[in-house]
Formats: sequence, structure tokens, C-alpha cells
Amino acid sequence: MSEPRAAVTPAAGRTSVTWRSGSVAIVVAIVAAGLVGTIGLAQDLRLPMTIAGPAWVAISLGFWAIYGLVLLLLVRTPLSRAELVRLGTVLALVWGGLAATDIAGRANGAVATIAANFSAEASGGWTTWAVAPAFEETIKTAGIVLLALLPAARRFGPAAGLAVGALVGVSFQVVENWVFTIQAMEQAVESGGTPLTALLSTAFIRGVVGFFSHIVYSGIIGAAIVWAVVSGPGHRARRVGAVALVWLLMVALHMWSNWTTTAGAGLLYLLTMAVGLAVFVVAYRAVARWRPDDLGPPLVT
Amino acid sequence: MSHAASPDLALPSTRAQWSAVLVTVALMVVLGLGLPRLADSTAPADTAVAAGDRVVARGVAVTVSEGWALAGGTDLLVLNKQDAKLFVLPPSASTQAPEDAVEQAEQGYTTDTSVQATIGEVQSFTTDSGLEAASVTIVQPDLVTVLYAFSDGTTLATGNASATPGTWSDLKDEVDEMAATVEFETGASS
Repeated sequence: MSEPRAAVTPAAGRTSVTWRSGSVAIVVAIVAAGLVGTIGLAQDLRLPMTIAGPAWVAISLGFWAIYGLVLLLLVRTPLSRAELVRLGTVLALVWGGLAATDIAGRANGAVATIAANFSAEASGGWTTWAVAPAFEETIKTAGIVLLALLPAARRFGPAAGLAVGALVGVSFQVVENWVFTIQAMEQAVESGGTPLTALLSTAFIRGVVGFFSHIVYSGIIGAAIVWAVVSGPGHRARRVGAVALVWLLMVALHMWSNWTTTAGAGLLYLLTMAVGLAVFVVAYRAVARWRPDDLGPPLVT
Repeated sequence: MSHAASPDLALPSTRAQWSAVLVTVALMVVLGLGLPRLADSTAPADTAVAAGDRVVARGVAVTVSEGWALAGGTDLLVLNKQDAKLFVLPPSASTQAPEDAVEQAEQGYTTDTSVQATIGEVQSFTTDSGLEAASVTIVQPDLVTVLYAFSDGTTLATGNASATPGTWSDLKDEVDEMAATVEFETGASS
């Protein structure tokens, strides 16, 4: 990624929020999707949560919430520089954790069901790593674009894009991991195991092996989207192409990660973690070239 | 670093915002509603069974009560009615007593006290065809489950009936009736 030109705001200093209809529509769309997603998740998890028991539901929720805070430490510098207003932060968390997880979950489940009509192995098999990443990255990216178009939620600069994407990715990662944990606990109880075993195994596979997953994919896509916006006029096709390429690379990385965790092998786990870490470090360093001075003041607060 | 003015850096246009919202809503509809609906339409449908008909699947036969349907997409004996489900797995060679089999199956509910399951006593009964059988009822806040085991002395089949409490109170007698009609079949399957 070549170093882009610095962002410039049309007017220096802070301006007041102008709640145009487009901004209101973005907020309404994200909040509505979050509400629908919350209802959907509650319905889907009602039975598994009952079987797992309220104590284990609370323990697992607390565990993944702390995990999410640890993940955010990775991007604390871009987050602090992005100067996201509270609304943008909340909307990013709502989109990633409640809307995107629900929509992607439904799409993933639907494809698994359709595929199962043709092959019993497909349901929960290759669809998990071959199809789910495309759906998940698509819907998360849609939210990142919405947030990037919300003046109250952004400040120009790839760091801000990384921060918004990371927030979407972290909330997606935390909620998805929690959902998987509850479902694993349900299966464990029904097969004579204990919820603790399910929590530990899910924490290892999804928490440790998948540490550099959604936060990396969405963070990098977010940085790429904002980079395309701030990299100056002209070359529109090249900028859009670059974002599309980054998106495809993140889908491919996501596929690789899902495949290795599905295949289940020690060496592949280590390789997955190493690849995720390497991609994160490279992207983070590229984004870190921008300093707060390069970004200009926030457009609106 | 020099700052160069750029039209791209202006506040996003209302048109761009609305376009993004519309594209996102379209994505949400396609992925969140369209695909699941498509999946439902391609999923094997349940097959309605007339009351009193006998269905056989994977070596197990049951005489079906009114309103129950044979689940599609599986060759196992799975019957559905409302949110209630009754299934019996294929029999396998075993001399284990049915009472021991259901006690073993209920261990998953007893090892963890946070499950909030109330486990009943093991009930023994004999099916119409002479199979020795046992069941145990497990009541949870949102689910009633009955674990079954059937044995002819050398072959054992386990099963399970489940429903939400409201449905269960309506359908319990029908499930009991069907459980009493379980038979082992060899070869035939329908």
C-alpha cells in the first residue's frame, strides 16, 4: 500500500452535526438491524441457553466480553487517534455484534441447509469455510461503509477506518464466539459432558487459534475503504479495485482460518495464528504511518 | 506532509448515504430473509401420516397418532407435531436393560446442576409387541424431554421425545400411545 496523501477537511475546526436525512437513515438502519438481530439471537439461543444454564451463560458472556476488551487493546492507538464520537463507537459495536452476526448466521445456515440436500457432508462442512467467510465479510463491510458515510462517526484517515473496522470485527468476533460457546455447552450437556469443557475447547479454537480473525479482516477492510477515500482525486477505478482486492484477500484469509480450525491440526493452528499475526502487523504498520497531524480535525463531533 | 484539497474529502453526499443504506438493506433482505426462505423451500417436507398408520424406518416401527408427520430429509424414524418431536434410533445388538440405558442417558442432565432439570423416576413398561421398555421424564423451564429405551433382550433401541411444556401437556398422551406401539422390524423400511 503506497503512502496516501493526507486528508484535508473542507473547513478547519469543528463543525456542528448536520442531521441530514441520509445520516438519519444510516443510524436508523443500523439500530433497526441491531434490534432485529438481538431478537433473532435471543430466539435462536433460548433453548441452548436454557440447557446450558444461566450460570454458564453468564460465565461465558463475561469471558468473551473480557476477551473483547483484550482484542481492543491491539488497536488502542488507532482507536484513540480516530477520535470516534460515542455514537460511532456504539453503532460499530451494534452492527458487528448484533446485526452482522444475525444476518450472516441466517445466510450461513441457509446455504448449509441447501447444500445438505445434495451432500450430507456439506452441512456444517465445506460451507463453513468456503461460503461463510464471503457472507460475513460482505455484511460487515456494508456496515463499515455505512459508518464511513456517517459524518458524526468518522474522522478521515486509514487509522479511523482501521478503528471502525476493528470495532465491527471485535463485536462480531465476541458475539459469534459466545454463540458458539452456548451451542457447544448445549451439545456437551446433552451428550453427558460439562459446560466447562465446552467453554475451554471453544476458548482454545475460537479464542486462541482464531485470535487474529475478525478484528484483522474488518480492521484492514475498514482501513482500505478510508484509504480509498483519502488518497486523493482521480484513479477512482484503481482505488475501488484496491479495496476490492483487499476485501478478497481478507475473505481468502478468513477461508483459510475457518478451514484450518475445521480440519483441526496442531501445526495448522500455529500457522493460522502466525499468518493472522503477520497480516495484522503489516497492516497496522502501514496504517501507523499516519500521524494525528496528517488527519486534520474531525469533520463533525 | 502537504495537504491537498480534494473533492473526495467533502462531507458525504446525502445521495451517497441513501445509496449505501439501500444497498445494505437489500443485502440484509437477500442474506437474512431471501436465502433462509429459499432454503426452507428446498428442504425436504414432512410427510403427513394418517392416524393409525404404521411407519417403519431403519428397523423400528411405530403406529402414528393423529396429526403427526414423518420428518423429511432423514431415513431415521422421526415424527413431528407442532414443536414436539419423537424419534427412535435404529436398534443395535445389546443386552443392556432399558432401565439402565435411560439412566445412562440421563447422566448428561444430572452432572451439571445449573441445567435446572427436574428428573423423574425411571418408568418401566411393555410395548404392545412385547418389548421391554423404560422411560424417564426430564423437565426444564422451557423443555420437556422423555428419554426412551426399548429392548427385546438382544437388541436395544433408544429414543427421545421433546416439546415445550405447553405443547407437551397437550401431546403427552399421544406420545405415550405411540411409544407403546414401538416394534423392531428387520429389513423392511418405509
